[in-house]
Amino acid sequence: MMFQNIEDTKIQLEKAGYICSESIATVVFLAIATQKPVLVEGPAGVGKTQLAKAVSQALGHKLIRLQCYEGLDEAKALYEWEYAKQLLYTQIMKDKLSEILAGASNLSEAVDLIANQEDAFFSERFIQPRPLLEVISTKDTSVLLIDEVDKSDPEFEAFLLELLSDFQITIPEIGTKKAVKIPIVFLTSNNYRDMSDALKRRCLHLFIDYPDRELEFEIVRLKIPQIEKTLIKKLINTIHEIRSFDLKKKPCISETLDWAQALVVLQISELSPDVVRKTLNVICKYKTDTDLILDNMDVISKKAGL
Amino acid sequence: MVKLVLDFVFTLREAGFKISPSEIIDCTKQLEIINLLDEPCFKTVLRANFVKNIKKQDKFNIIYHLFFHEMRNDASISQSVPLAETIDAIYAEIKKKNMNDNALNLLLDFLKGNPLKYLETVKNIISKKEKKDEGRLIPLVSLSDILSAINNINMEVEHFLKVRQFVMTWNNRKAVAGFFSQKLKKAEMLANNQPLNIKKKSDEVVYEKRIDQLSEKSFLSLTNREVRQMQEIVAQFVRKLKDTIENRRKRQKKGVLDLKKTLRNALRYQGIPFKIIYKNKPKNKGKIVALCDVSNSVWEASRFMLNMLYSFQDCFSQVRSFVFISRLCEITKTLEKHEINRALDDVIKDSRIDYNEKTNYGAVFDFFYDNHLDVLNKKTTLIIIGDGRSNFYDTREDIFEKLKDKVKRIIWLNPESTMFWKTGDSLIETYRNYCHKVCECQNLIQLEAFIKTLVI
Ligand SMILES: Nc1ncnc2c1ncn2[C@@H]1O[C@H](COP(=O)(O)OP(=O)(O)OP(=O)(O)O)[C@@H](O)[C@H]1O
Ligand SMILES: [Mg+2]
Repeated sequence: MMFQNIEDTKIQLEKAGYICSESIATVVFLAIATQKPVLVEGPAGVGKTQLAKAVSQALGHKLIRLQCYEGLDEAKALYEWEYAKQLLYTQIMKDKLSEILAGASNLSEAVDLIANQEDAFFSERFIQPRPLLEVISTKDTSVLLIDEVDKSDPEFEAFLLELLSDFQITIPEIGTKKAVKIPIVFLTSNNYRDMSDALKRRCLHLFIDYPDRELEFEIVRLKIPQIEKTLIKKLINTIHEIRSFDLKKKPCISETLDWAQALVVLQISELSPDVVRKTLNVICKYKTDTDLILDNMDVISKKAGL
Repeated sequence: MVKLVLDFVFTLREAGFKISPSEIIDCTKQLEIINLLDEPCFKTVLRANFVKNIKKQDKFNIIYHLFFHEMRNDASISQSVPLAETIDAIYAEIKKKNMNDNALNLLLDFLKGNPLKYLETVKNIISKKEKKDEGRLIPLVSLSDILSAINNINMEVEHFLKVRQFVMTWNNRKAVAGFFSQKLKKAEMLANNQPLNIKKKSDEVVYEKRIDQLSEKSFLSLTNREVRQMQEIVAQFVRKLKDTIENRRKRQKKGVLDLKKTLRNALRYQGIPFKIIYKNKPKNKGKIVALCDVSNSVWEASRFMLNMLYSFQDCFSQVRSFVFISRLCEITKTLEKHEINRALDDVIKDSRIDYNEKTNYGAVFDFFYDNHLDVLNKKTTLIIIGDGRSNFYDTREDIFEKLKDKVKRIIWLNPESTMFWKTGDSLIETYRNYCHKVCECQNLIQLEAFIKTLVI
């Protein structure tokens, strides 16, 4: 399956539970149409990871996720030889090996004989596939999500470059494997570290910022249908006012959703400054932030029209 | 279409964007599948291909607006052949007459569709005006230069067209005159800082842009708000550097196979080495003692230095810190108790510090020598941060020299510009003789560079 056009992309993604802006839809559509990876950047919690999930769901492709972290290396991302399994097999087949070695008259001959059997030990049987090998091996198109790529080390990034240009990998003992179908690739980054130019060159760049009021309204309505429209409006106005402060961590979409959910659970249907004060801990995760907002509650409630 | 994109890329490159041919190819390919009449979509495609740095989004938006909105509507005329020639002739004429007028040359470039230098100049003029920043060099081109140059060009054009009254048809003359007056009006508006209805930038982007500026800003001129923003920048720097350190450590650790342990472990599996064990190298250890001047002029620099030192605490075997104005007091405990930024706020409220007194380096070193000598040893790096302005009190060089002999090295960070080091009551040149290093540490960039050398 593919998206027909930008409009269709929007609709399909919405069906998969993701509301996207015009620019998100455009970039996603083009990336898939031209088989380019997308590098998604933006503040925490604006739905970067969710976007990849929604795309995989909308297109009915399998989602293969590689979560990056410091110290992630090729072995953990691509494949690992099952060293223990190989040893175990050797142990079990000791007798068989002696049989093979029986004909050898000296050490170097024995080594040659063993070398002839190498293929048996370095075969796919002893490979443990990790996400990237999985992507290359699956027969259908898959969605590859390389999450928080900024957390990975520069060497790993260099390795990704190679993968993203050719979609093929080389396992020295077995040979080169090429992807059957080019996967749809999303890389997400929180800008913890700047990615290299080379990586950026290979990707389309998508910057997701905090959504505007309209978009956020739609998101809340989609995710929490039972909540009153007027309440959502007030809630979002308040959130936007709060975001305009210089906070340590600005509340993101998931916090808006949590807040809305909390109000539903508490059966609160009217957002007053008092309610905001009492439920503030849902959206502000730092004490200093909470204090700052409490100090400015009057201004916020006035601007948000509470 | 390709030509248009190329022109745009050229403008972007002028403005410092790095754009590779492959990105241009990608972009043109993608433009083929979208509806070109849908402008937001068009813009998104350009942005997705050409701006891969969040910090540059803002700059892109401005250039996009200038290129496709401000400059486009008149491009058609300057490119229609007969008039283009006339316009070029006018440019040449004006240039011939006023070879060396800077403002005029900038404007001509602007008219020809290379607006960047002009915009830069105008921006500088405006920001100078807003800051009322004296003591800097006066810009090469002033606002009045620009306005008079605009006037000049207007007159030249008028004159030029008048001379050709019977050579050119009236509607062509009108078109040319219109071309110039429209563009010059725009130039004038820009110079007078009237916004060209460019959409207000989102907070986030402005903030990103500020990081660059802030890092270069002198510690002595920060506002409260900027201090808060700097804290965030520092936090980011710390995270990155910690990564680097950690990576190095990991690589060092991996280095050598620990044969003994591997073999011993293998015994459990009938001598088969199931688990391979590497040697770990010990951490690089050293002790840091920081003496920080917290008098008004130096506090901000001290604060960020302390902030960073404490963030890297685990790279050192110990960090002890003292602050002083005329008297010394230890703040190690305060700093260890709370989150660092909060702790630093507590430090300035410390009742033991008397802000009315004058800085006295000699007395401070003396006191330190008498009371805290035990914190120093041969593995200690003593960092002093201060401007070395001791209000003409005694330097106590002798004590300072003795301190030097007790430690591994003394590093002095001075938040004052090197230009002023030899002036007034600055003693930095005297103390320099006993320090292993004296660095200027005026802004975040310099501080970061120093911390890097310290921990790596
Ligand atoms: N456009 C959207 N439509 C629907 N839900 C959204 C949208 N954006 C965000 N969300 C919700 O916000 C939550 C957080 O999103 P997600 O985890 O993808 O953020 P993120 O950008 O990956 O954050 P981080 O940088 O912390 O990893 C998701 O669980 C999702 O429910
Ligand atoms: Mg995520």
